[in-house]
Amino acid sequence: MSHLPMLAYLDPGTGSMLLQAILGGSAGLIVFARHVWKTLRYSKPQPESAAVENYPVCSQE
Amino acid sequence: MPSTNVSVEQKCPRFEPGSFRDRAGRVFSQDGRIFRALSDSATRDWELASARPFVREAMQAGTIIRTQSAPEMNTFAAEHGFASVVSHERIPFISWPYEWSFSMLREAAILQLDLMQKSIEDGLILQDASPYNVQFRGALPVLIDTGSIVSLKAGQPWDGYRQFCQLFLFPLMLQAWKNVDFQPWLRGCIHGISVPHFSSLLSLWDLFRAGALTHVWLHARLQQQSSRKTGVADSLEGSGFSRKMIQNNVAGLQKLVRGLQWRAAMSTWSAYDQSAEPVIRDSSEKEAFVEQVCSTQHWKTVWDLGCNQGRYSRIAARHSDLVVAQDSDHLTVDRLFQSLHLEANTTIVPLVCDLADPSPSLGWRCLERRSLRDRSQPELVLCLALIHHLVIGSNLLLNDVVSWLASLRAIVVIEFVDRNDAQVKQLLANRRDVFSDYSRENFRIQINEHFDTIQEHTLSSNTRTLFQLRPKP
Repeated sequence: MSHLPMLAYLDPGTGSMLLQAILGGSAGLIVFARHVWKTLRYSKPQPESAAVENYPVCSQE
Repeated sequence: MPSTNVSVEQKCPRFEPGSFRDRAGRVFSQDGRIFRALSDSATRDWELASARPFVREAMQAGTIIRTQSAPEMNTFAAEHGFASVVSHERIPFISWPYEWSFSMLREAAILQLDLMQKSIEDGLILQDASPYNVQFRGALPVLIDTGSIVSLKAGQPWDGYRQFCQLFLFPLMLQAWKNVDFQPWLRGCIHGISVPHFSSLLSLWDLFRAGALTHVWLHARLQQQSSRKTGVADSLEGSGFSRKMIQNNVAGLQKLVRGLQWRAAMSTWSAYDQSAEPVIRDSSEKEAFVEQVCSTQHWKTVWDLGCNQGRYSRIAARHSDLVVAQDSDHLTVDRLFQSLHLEANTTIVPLVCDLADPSPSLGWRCLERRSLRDRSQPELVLCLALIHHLVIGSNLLLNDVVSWLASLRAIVVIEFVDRNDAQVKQLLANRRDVFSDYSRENFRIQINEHFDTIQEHTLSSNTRTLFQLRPKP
């Protein structure tokens, strides 16, 4: 846990924000589940062509 | 951001050194008046908030500091890049959460949550949740940071939740669950007790307590897991996060905080007024002496050092605007606060304060949270049945204590307790008597060096003498 303060500049309270969805009642749990689903979906490796299509990070001119 | 009091009134406007974290609003003072300079966005937020019934009613009830527009200071504000200025009612004494008792912090937390709930119903939110934004008018808490009231954006979580946990909830849990004083923890870090640190303090048994599993354990796990994630706020918004979820969380916190109780039965000084024999015998004479001194004029500020259950603070309060009642015994101060709070007392501010280890200046450049001495100038100091504890109990030098009292530049009412008094004998019972400076003769030499004696009165017990002293010019 001692590494956490070093990461403070990256994390202004991400965990606290997520917890608020969990503590927000049954509707909040659905929001949390949707967030987790989205996170998992977008973190899944995608085929190269799809990745280029979805994330055109630069254009060569 | 919290506004702070000023001890010296100045002609030119001056920004408070402790008000800098919020770029949208900074507190400044002039001629004893307190102002807040607002940026464009903060001006729009305040115009919106001040028109809402919730804010108007709270200002009327005194739970939000009374605030009004102050266009006469706009030129000063414009010079510093601000768009407008509001002026605040002045709170006579600024205290810090590490000087409060458990019930004081709890009442401040309840106020914060109640205002949060009402603000959300009105389309607003208190964006941060710091106890430094709450002050005490006597024993009644008041929110002083109008800059924290902003319009609620749809889909955004409450930014102040973690701050609420670190500075309100965890210190209260620490006291209620572990019977560990929270003040040294808050004094040690102005950001409070971090989530992972507090999680580490809990035992397996503690996890079965209300709120421990979610607000502490899960909070720490999520913080650890999510520390490198970005865009979470947007993702939550896109997933349907709504204001109802903040309201549910706040409602849960309200129930949790109201349920936290500190069940300390007794401390060293909690039964002092009832049990100490010389105290009972001399009390009516002492009361008469204090009443006589206090009634000679109306005092702006009185310090009651070693106030215990506030017997003499209450006498002083009848003749003054403000009494700062200080004692190092947390439980005694907590009980005093509870009784004052029930009475809705607006004159006496109780503080947990050890004179041998008082609040220092803390924070950025040691100016953010000023020391007790820098925040208050007493006109009258009550120092009753205390000096033997300072010299014998805390090992302070008698001449040092007397010269420190003289440095306060106030009228002093002090009680000297002889060596043959039962209380002094008890103090010396289990320690080597190295206190050769503690004698009535030396006390007289010391007070004659620093003070003029206005009057003195030896109490019926014949072991205690009261002095009214005026510091030499």
